[in-house]
Amino acid sequence: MTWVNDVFQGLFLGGAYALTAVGLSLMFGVMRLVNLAHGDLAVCGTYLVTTVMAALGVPLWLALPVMIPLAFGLGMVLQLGLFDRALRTGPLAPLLVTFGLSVIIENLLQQIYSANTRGVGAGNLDVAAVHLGGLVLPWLAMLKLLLALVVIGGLSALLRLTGWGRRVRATSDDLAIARLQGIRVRPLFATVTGIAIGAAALAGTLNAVTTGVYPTLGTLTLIFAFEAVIIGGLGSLWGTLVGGMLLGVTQVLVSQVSVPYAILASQLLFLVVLAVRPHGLFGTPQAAG
Amino acid sequence: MSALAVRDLDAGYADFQALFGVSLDLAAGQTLALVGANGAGKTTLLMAIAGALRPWRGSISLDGTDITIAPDYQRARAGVVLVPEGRRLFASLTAEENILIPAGVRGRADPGPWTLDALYELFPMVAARRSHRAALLSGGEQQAVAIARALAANPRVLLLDEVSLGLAPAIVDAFYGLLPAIQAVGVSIVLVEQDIDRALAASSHTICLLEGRLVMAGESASLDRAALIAAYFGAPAGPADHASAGPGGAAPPAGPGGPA
Repeated sequence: MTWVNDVFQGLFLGGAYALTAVGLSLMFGVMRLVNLAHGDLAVCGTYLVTTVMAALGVPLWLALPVMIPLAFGLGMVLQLGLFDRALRTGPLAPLLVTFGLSVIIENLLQQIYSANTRGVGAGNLDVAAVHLGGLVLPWLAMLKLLLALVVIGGLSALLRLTGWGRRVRATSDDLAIARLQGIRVRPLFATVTGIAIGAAALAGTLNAVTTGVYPTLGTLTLIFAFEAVIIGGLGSLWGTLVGGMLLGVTQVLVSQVSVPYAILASQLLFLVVLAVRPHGLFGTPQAAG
Repeated sequence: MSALAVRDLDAGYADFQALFGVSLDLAAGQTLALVGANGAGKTTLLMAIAGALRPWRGSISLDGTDITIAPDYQRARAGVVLVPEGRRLFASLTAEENILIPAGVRGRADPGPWTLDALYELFPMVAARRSHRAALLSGGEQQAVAIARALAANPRVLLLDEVSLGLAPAIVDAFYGLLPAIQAVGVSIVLVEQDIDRALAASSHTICLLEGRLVMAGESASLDRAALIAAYFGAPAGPADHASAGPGGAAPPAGPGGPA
């Protein structure tokens, strides 16, 4: 029964990875933009929540609805002011620009909030769990997995079923022709980045309830998110969920044998997937090319 | 007033000039055939009219309104719509989703005659394959979807770039058979076509480009076919007056250059 419980914990962890990664996956899938500041923007959301909680004296669940629209707006502003220009310059510029943004954010956060780790208070949500036979089902982990499913499912439905989604997919297929068919690409991309950053900020905040937050946490966040996206396949949202879960399950199972090797094992999984199937489990070879 | 008027257009890519002082006029419901050898600038001219390429000099107007500097998406909404060479459908979308793209774009004043039902009536083969992904359709079906997608934007001016390329003659005949129905609702058409006989038969006026210059223009019915072929290849066979002013007054020299 222990290993069944471990698999469950791995799936929960994978849900957290997937929720963190879904924005990265979306932005790459739609715009071919690799956002190296993704993790740092998630951390920005966390600090924003702590600030809102302190300033208004409200609990986490009231601060989140304030923060997410702000993160969405920040994403739109970044897209309109920065990423759009970078994308027009060529494939290398977005990498440099987002890397630079990552450095700036981490240093700004250190300047404003200091390098100390701070916690995100969530009452007893971080320890509360349901015990079911031999299974331990932590509420927070279940919430993250549920949110990952809701966000990925909701985004997939939006992309499949709405006019907005149709325009996003068309633009992803052929940007020049999309413009010639009357699609205004700038606001469309701005909403995509808004959603991506909003989801990242939500994930970052919920992760910080367990681990706390510090200014350079974003780099570590980015690595796991990146691996989830690559394992699942570039441009595939459901692939990102599966990629996150494979990472999570591997990590938890190996940690039962040896805790120090748990992180290493998930990196090895990533390397194996890159070697055997470079376009990921659900990606297409062209999208990776 | 012309539906579409192009005046003294220069355009190109980086430091390569592809068009030199090209002018043309097109009345509502009229079809203009644009012929010329490969590299003559036909596609460049369509791209400049559609807004994919910013002209270096000259002007483009639609129904008397200057659109020279209007961005591409605004031009599509104003009614200048391109059916690009090689069709370029949105590959991951279904046939129907492709056609729904222009209709879903905000800022369209009125849907015009080309509702989804009207388009399916015009292209029964698209109706039959509406839920298939565009990438999985045959060449003819893809071309039908590409034209339907353009019509769904309710165009004033339809730019058709080599719609017959790579298609079976019977399918090409079917497409050309549809043009009168499209013209009948007042849509003007600019047609790029390799086949001179087909171009002359389908159009009221024809212009010929050679190395980016307009070298011949006239009513399709009265154009001297031999002179047009000479102009097409830039051969010095035709008398000089065949290479005279187009409707816009451009009077480029008929250079002795060989086939481009």
